[in-house]
Amino acid sequence: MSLSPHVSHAASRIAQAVVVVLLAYTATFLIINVLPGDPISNMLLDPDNGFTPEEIAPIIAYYGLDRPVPEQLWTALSRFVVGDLGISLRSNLPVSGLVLDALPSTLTLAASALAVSLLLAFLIAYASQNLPPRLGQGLIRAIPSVSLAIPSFIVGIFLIQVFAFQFGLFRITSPDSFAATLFAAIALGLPVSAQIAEVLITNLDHEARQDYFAVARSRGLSRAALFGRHQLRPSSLPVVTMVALAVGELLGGSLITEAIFGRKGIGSLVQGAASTQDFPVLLAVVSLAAVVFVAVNLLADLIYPLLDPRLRRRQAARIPAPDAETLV
Amino acid sequence: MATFPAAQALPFRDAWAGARRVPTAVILSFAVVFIVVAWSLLPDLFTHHDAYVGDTSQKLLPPSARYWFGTDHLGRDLFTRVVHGTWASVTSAAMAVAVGLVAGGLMGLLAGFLGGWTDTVVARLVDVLLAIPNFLLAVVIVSSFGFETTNIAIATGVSSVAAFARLMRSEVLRTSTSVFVEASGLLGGSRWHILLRHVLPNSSRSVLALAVLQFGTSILIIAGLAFLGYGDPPPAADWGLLVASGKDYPSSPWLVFAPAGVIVVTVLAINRISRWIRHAH
Amino acid sequence: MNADRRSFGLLIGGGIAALAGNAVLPRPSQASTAAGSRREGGHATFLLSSLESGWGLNEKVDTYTGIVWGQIADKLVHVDAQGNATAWIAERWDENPDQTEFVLHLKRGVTFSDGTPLDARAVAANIDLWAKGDTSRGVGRLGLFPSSTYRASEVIDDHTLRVSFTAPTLSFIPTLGYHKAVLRAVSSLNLRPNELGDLSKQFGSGPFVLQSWQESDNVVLVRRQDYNWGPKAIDHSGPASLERITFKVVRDASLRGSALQAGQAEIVLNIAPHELAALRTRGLSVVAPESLGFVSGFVVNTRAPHFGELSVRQAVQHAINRQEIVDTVFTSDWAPARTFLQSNVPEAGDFSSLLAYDPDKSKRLLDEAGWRPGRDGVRVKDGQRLRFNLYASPWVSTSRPVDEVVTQQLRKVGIAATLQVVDISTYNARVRGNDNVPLVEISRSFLDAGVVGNILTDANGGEDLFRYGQTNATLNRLAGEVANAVDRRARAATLQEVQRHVLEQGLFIPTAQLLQRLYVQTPKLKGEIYSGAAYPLYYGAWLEA
Repeated sequence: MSLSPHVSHAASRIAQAVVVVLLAYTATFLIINVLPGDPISNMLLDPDNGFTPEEIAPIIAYYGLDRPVPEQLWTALSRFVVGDLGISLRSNLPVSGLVLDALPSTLTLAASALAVSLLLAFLIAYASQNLPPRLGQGLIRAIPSVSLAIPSFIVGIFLIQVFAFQFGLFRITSPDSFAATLFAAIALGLPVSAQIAEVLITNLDHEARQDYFAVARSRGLSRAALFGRHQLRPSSLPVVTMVALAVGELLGGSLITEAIFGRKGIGSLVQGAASTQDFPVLLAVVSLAAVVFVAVNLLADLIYPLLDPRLRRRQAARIPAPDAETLV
Repeated sequence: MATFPAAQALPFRDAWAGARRVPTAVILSFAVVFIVVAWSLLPDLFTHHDAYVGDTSQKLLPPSARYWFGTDHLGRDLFTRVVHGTWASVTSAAMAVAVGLVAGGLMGLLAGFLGGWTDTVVARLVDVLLAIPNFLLAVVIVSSFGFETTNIAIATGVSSVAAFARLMRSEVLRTSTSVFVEASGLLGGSRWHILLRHVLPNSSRSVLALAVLQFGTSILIIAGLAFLGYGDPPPAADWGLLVASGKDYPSSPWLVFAPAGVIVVTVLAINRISRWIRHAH
Repeated sequence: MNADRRSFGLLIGGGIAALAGNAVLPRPSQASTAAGSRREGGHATFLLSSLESGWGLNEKVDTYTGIVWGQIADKLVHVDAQGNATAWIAERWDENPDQTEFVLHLKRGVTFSDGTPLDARAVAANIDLWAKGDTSRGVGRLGLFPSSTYRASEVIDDHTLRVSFTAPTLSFIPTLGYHKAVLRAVSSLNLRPNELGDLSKQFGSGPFVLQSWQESDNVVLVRRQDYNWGPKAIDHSGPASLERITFKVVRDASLRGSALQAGQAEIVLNIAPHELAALRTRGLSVVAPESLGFVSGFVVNTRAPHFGELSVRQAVQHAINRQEIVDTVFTSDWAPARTFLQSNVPEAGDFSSLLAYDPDKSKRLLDEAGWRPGRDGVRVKDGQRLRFNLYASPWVSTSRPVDEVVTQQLRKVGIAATLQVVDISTYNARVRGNDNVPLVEISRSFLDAGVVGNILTDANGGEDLFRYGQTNATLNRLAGEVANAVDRRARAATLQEVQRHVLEQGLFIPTAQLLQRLYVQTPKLKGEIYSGAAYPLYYGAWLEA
């Protein structure tokens, strides 16, 4: 492969990525602006205040919310492209600061959830191969399907009621503690672990049916070596691909988990902003998510041609149809 | 947000040939779905209480022979409300699937079949949809258009458009390059004839499996949005709303567990059926 | 539990009698035993559902941030549950007979936590900003402040200032005890728009100062060691006893309750009424301070279809079973409404007879007016059905269950109300200024009943809640008399007449007492007091060992 087509491919992909981010920003802006009313009225027309709409008109005008939508969009876009995310209408704080404050907690949660879900998935997968078939396997193999059918907020509420309040293992007043993060990660990671476990089990079963597996077994390899070398290793390649897909889901799913566990983060930031129509914050989070998504995909796109194309094809063929949330 | 890889290329009608060896779990799943459908069509056949007007002196009673799932804060029979809420839950999930299936399916079909700039435009649109996390997209849509089940359903559907589009496109590409489609082209079949006669039927099993799966997922997403407070107003009795309002009564846990149990069993059954469709030979 | 709360009364004095709920009423006879048990130190955790409004000026102070502000900042006066203003930063005040000029005498030696003095100049700057706002920075005025008659604040000397009005303004002094009328350092008032929300730049003179905070999540306060200027209503001097207070957002009410039961918090704001009994049996205290203001209920828009008819309004008035609402949705901490003012408002009367539950009377009134039951039971006249949309208030969490009961009750007399539950923005879009919505829920606290005069008509920028404009002669007269009153007793007599007239005419459909701020807490917490709007002051509070 010569360099120049790769470079021009890269340039066109980067250009497309920029277009996607700008389109996502514009689409969100337009959706938000469908609703009549504005955050200032929402705040000030609380019946406790006794304001008339005429009285708050100058304040709405101060924030430029009385302008026509295209003009507002143009102003917002031209600030966005130079990195100015504006000021939160609700809290009067710079949006960039709010997002940066919220990000570490969400990233910690997502990373822990990923670790938890991988651990759970491999445990379940191991048990599915090595427990006595009649007794344990059926039960173990049912776990992924069942956990995919349980609404995630039920899991969260259950974990808090039992482990925080009954056993006192963590305090919901300090949600960033290790134990609190761990349980939030379990709630968030459970559906992801179920998806990974399903894929793993399917692949492990596939490997177990292969001829070389029977040969290896007849050579008297230990159970663990057999599992590790001949079943798990060839089965884990698709897991790598699934992890990349799961990252987006974990970041998105943090909305509910953060709300239940009282964590500060991107999810709670969005929820607060959506309920108060805090446009600048909503737009910032949506465009941040879009940038991350596009960047990850761009990276993958640019790296793939450099990798062995045969490996890529092999991986793709190995992923059986994913279930439930992977598709969402 | 995932690719939906190819199932084996089998003509669609052959899927039903495998139905002779249906596993017990699948039969049970169909039974669950049958009951759910019956509840949604003929709720009065299964219940003897009023779903909307309660007897306030009978409020918050635990499950009993008289009230199978207990009663809520207005003394309404929870079982009755679950049964009467089935129609709304089923239709909202169906609407979500319909939005995703129609919009996404069409986009994928055109992109895969026409190729060229259509493919490019659709690919960018799908990218934009994928770039906004689904829950976020749903929250933005619902808080902009109003807190109604219809809007939740549409929002949920919109967030699944990308998945349907991608799957449809890859299925169309796969089938159009398969031997018998190419053969049909060589024999002089028109493009639209090939599309309708060969490509669509051969793509439909994976798409059907995704649609069924998406149905169960939509129930969960709609319940999640209801939990966050984006639901329909009372006295609506969608399952998600029942769970969401039940969680405010921690000393009456049946208000959460009964409707949540119904959701879990239903989604479990639907997922099982989806997997069966995908793997049945 | 009564014994647990015995010391509570000593510090609060007379105002306590108005606290609602038998379990929380302290016994005055036991009050004298408490003083010795005060304990220094201790850490209180306070859980609440939101800290979303930000930390900016004036209207940015809401129910939740107002509770935090009450510990960080002082006010000029403290208003007790009877609406009496008592000394705080304003040691005393003089008023002229016309009620147009007020001279405030300030306490000496008071400083903000940034070290600057709380003097007449700072107070004048605060009052000016409350009255006028600053639209060049996007800051509105303070809603309940009598801005329309405000003239100026002039500094007489470091500790004295004169505030003048263009017309009699009886409500000025009580308004100074409003939860949003917090005194801030001059530097905090003048922050740039993108700094206004930075709590670390907002300085008050209160008994607690900021230790750390996270936007819309938590605030940690520590006591200020040199504080010595608490309100006269609190029998305590020197720094606060509590070492630290943590305010933490936990959105879900049931989780707040469980956290309290598990000992992970000391105080929790607003638990659903039906969970209170369970919490009480676990030995927790429910404190339901009555707040001055309107009760829960509906204001009637007389321009809405059918609600211009007196018989329809009266039929609604008598179709509502207020006792059933209390029994179904609330607990014994709540009382059915007896007028449209909370019962601790000094001017509130008892008009229960006008609000008696009498569905037969409602049916008769509707029959006589030509509203005949249709096939489905909903009444019809001239081909029009007697139905309307009822919007639950997005600001009051108990509004939805109350409205569910109301809808059932109205249905029994043949009035079909369809309940709509929407978020704040949708509510504003659909209900505000919409003359098709007949019943609008109101939830408003005030510190001075003069506010009532301002809702009756649209004269002098009045809110005109009943939408008569100035076409109703009786309301015009009553509004004028309330506005121009210079004497509280004469005004009270007028307000009695207002209540009778408004209720008889079915212009206000009250339901139950409004408890917007309900505190469930450990019985170990002693010595806190509440303002007339039910905001807590933890300056005098301590935690028993």
